This record gives sequence, C-alpha cells and structure tokens, in this order.
Amino acid sequence: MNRISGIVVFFLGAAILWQAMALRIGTFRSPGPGFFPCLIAVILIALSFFLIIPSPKEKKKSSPLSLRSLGRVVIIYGSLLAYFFTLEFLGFVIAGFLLMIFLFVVIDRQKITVATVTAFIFVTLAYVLFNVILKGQLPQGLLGI
Amino acid sequence: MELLHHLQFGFGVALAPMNLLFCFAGVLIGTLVGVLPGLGPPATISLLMPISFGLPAETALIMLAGIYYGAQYGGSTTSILINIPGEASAVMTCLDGYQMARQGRAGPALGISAFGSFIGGTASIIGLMVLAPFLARFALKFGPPEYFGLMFLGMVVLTFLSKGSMIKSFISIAIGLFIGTVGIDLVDGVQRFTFGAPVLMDGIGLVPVGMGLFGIAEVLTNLEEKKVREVFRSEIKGLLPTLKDWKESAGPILRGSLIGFFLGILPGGGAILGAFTSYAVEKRLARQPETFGKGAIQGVAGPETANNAATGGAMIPLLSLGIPSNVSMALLLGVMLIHGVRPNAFLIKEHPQIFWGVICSMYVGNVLLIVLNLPLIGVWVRLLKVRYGVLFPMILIFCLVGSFTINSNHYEVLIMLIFGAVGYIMRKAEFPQAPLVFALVLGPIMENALRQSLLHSRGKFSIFVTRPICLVLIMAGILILLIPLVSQVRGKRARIMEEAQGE
Repeated sequence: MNRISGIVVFFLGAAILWQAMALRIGTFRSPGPGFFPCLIAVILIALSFFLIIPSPKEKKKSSPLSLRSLGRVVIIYGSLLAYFFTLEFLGFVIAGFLLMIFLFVVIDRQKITVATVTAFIFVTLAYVLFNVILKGQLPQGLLGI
Repeated sequence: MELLHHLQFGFGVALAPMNLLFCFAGVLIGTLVGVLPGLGPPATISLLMPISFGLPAETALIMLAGIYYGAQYGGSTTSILINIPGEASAVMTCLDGYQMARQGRAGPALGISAFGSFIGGTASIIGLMVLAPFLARFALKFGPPEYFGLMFLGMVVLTFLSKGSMIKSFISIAIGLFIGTVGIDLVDGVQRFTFGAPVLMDGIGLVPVGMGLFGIAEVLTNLEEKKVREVFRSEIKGLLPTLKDWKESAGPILRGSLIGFFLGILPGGGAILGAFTSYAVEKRLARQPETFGKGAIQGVAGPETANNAATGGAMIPLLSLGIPSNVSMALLLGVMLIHGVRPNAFLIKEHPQIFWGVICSMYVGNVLLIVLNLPLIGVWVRLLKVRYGVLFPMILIFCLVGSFTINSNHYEVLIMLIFGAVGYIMRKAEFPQAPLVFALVLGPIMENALRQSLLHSRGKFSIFVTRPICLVLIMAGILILLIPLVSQVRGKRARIMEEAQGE
C-alpha cells in the first residue's frame, strides 16, 4: 500500500514540477509564480522515495478492506455525485428529496415509506432553514422553487 | 490597571446579546459534538463556516471557539459512561473514569471531570490573557523571514507530534501547500493550476476542503463499520464529588492546568498530548500508582483539566502571532482571513473587539458549560441513542447544501466531493489529513513570507540564517526533524503513540 501511495505521490510531484516550469520559476532574486510550486514538487518527489523504498520497520498490514464495505462506500459516494450532476436541472427540492430517500434506505435501512416521509420532513426543514431563514439561493430546477 | 480596562471592554463585547447567544450556541453544539463519538470540532467548525460568513468576525469566532473548547467538556461523558471517548483527548479518561462508573461512582467522576474542565479552562484563559499581549509585543520584531521560520517550525512540530509516519505527514503538508497555490498569484497576476476553470480562479477554498476532508470522508469511513454501543444503564446519583475526592484531585487539577496550558501552545500539541502527559505525570507522582487504571480519581481529574487547559493555550499562537497550533485553530484562522482580518502582532491594536471579545467570551463560555454539563448529563446520555443511520445522512446533506451556499456555485459542491474522496483515500492509506488543512491555510502566507524575504535580501538565502530569531527558529525545526533519526527515540515515540491510541 505504501508503495502505491509513494508512486502516486511521485507522479503528483512530477506533474506539479512540470506545470511549475511552465509558469516562470524565476531566480532567487525575484522568485516567479512557479518558484514555490517547484519547491513543493521537489519535496514531494523526494519524500515519495521514502515510501517507495520499503523501510526495515514494516508494521503488519492494516485491516484489509472488504469488498463489500468498499462497495457500500462507492454506492453512497456515487449517489452524492448523482446529486451534484442533477442539482441544477432538478433543483434542490427534488434532488435533495430523492437523495435523502436513497440515503435513509441504504444507510439506515429504513423502509421506503418511512424514508419518504422522513425525507420529506428533512427537505422541508432544510428548504426553510437555508432558503427562507438564511436567504440562500438553492437551485430551483424543475419545480421552480 | 490597563488589563482591567481591556477586560471591561472585552466583557462588553462578549456579553452583547448576539454574541452571548452565539456563544451559547457554540458551546452547546460543542458539547454535543464532544459527546458524539466520530464527530469532532474540526468537522463541525467546517460545517458551520458558511453560517459564520454573514456574522461579524468576532461573533463568528466566539461561536466557533465555543465549539472547540466545548467539545472538551463533552468528550469525557462517553468516556466515563461507555468507555468510548467522544474526543481523542478523552481517551485517558476512559481508563479510570469507566472503572469508576463500574464501581457505582459515575457521578463523582462526571462531577470532577466537569469541575476540573472548568478550572483548567478558566485558568488557561487567564494565562492566555497575560501571555498573548506579551507575545504579540515580542512578535512586533518579526519580519517576513521570522514568520517563515516560525511557520516552518510549526509544521515540523506538528508532524513530529502527529500520529503515524512523519514522511506521510510531510507529504500531507506538501499537498496542502500545493492546493494553496491554485488560483491567481497575487504577486504576478498569473493563473496557477487553474486549467481555465473559473471556479478555481479564486483558489480552492478552505470550506469545501474542510467539509470534504472532515465531513464527507468521516461519514464514508464510518459507513464501513457497524457501531454497537452499550450505554451504562445504572442511575447516576450524586454528581458531587466527596471531600476526599476533592483532596485527591486538587493536585492533579493544578498540575493538569499547567501541563495542558503549556502543551496547548505547541503546534500539534494540544489537548491530546496534554491529557496523556497529565495522566503519566499523575501516575508517576501518585502515592499508590497501582490504583491507576482501576478507578483512581486522579486519573480523571488530571487529564480532564489538562485537555481543557490546552484550549486556552492553543489560542495563544493564533491570536498573538497568527500561527495556528492545531487544525481547529487553522480553521479559525481561515475564518478570520475570510472576514478580512489578518491575525498578527497588530490584532490587539487593530481589532481589540476580536482579541478581547473572544478571550472574554471564553470565560463566559466556560461558565455556560459547567452550568450545561452538570444538570444535563442525562440529556446527553439519551442523545447517544440517536442512530448513526439518521445522523450520517443528515451530515451529508448538510455538507452538500452548505458547500453550495458559499458562493451559490454548485462547483463548490464538486470540489467538496472531490476532497471527500481524497480524504477517504488518505484515511485508507494512513495519511493524516490535519497537516493538509494546516498547510492549506498557512501556505499562501508562507509563500508570501518566503518571496518577500528573498526580494528583500535580493536573492540571498543567507537572510534566513543571519537574522537571529529566524535562525533559532529554523535550527529548532531542523533539530526536531533529526530526532527521529535516533532510532531509540523513534521506538519510544511509536510506543507513546500506540499507548495513547491503545483502547
């Protein structure tokens, strides 16, 4: 795992360095916009080696991630992304309502009917709190509210 | 005395109706967050940042600070009653507090915990009040090189005291520094790493990152485990500790206040280190050390006092130098910057309502807390029965909506979600997230200090070593970096961290 992290960090550092050189690095006398990012990139690359090269003190592997729990996380994260992508189109009320039903059913294992009611209550509360009281401007979408 | 004059002014600010209201809200939410395991001050402060935007700076800080020190009160409740620390700093309280509860002495444990917290918190505010102006005066001699050196030292100490590998902490810091560079470079007006996306031109905000790393990622991580909690059923009678309890606790409380306060000042130190050190000290000094771990009240009094005392100490670097000593402080710094206030040595002069107002509000807050905590323990216990299944969706929705309201821009939601994923991956790969946030807030300031120093010295790096204060700071940082190379110390440090995470 550490090795993978190290490789990722290495490439991240390399990417930053590449971009930093496109911005002007400048000189010590007058550091350019790329100066600090360049420093950061060098540090990242250097540190990544420590992760890639196994150290003599390797503790036992941390708890392995079961595929099932990872799946759960991915599904829920996916629902959040779906919320994001449909937010402008559907508007907060619909998108939020649908998301809440989904989350209550999946995370709390509520029955759909219960979840729908709870979601309705929460969406209304959120709408009142954010749009009416705090005068936010949640996306209106299809319903136009 | 001038100090009385300042206090009069400060209390005037702190007791203004709106500030009082938000102070109460802050400490209430803080206690709640402290009681609930899994949710901590950084996450909560991140979640409430959007709300704080509409408020004047001092009101926002009063509320958010209230969450921070309030959480240290709440954390002990679950430690004592169900052997699960509500906050990491309450881990030590589990050891003896839970045993006391099992012996039917939950009441005195909770009582001495609350009283110790109050004494520790109040004492540390007094320390803050005295030390911060003094430090601020000292900091007037600081120029850009000194600030750079100080931030460098702060980051080094932070990584040294963080759990886990120092390498990973540094990588985390570097990533945070990098994220801070995204946006328009203020010196040259050039766009950096924006790839043409308008939402990135102002840079990546602290709020979406905080909400993503601490809110979304926390929920995602917790989704994997099923938590079973058995709340201690027996009645809690007699919250007042006996005279004997007080006698035994007096020393630990006194020592805990000092230990917590001074350790709180250190970056990365704070409540956790304070509580652990206090426990170790009390055990060493006790007449009957073998009682520790079996229900010794000193083992509760000391750490609980220390973790609250650390909150006052932690505010010192922030208010006098503008350097945060932990993540919550970094978030507070971010809030100040968003409000256009730059905390540094001049904060006292330019924004006395913030400096003295916040300090005095901490006194008020501690009083509110002890009033809240003693009678309301039953309420907190009942709250623990709230199902995580309901709490998690609420947190997620809160994050989604909150991140939108920053700029009424739905791309902020995306940024938050991206950092939610980043935070989750970081937790799986065992990279600490706190240093990232730390660096994100400090990065632009640090870069500015670096560039100004180099401009000033016309490119000579020697400026960092010829100025005495700066040299001391940098040498201290390098020394601390070298310590882990001595493998004995590394082994000891690993053991200390393991013990602290233990249960």
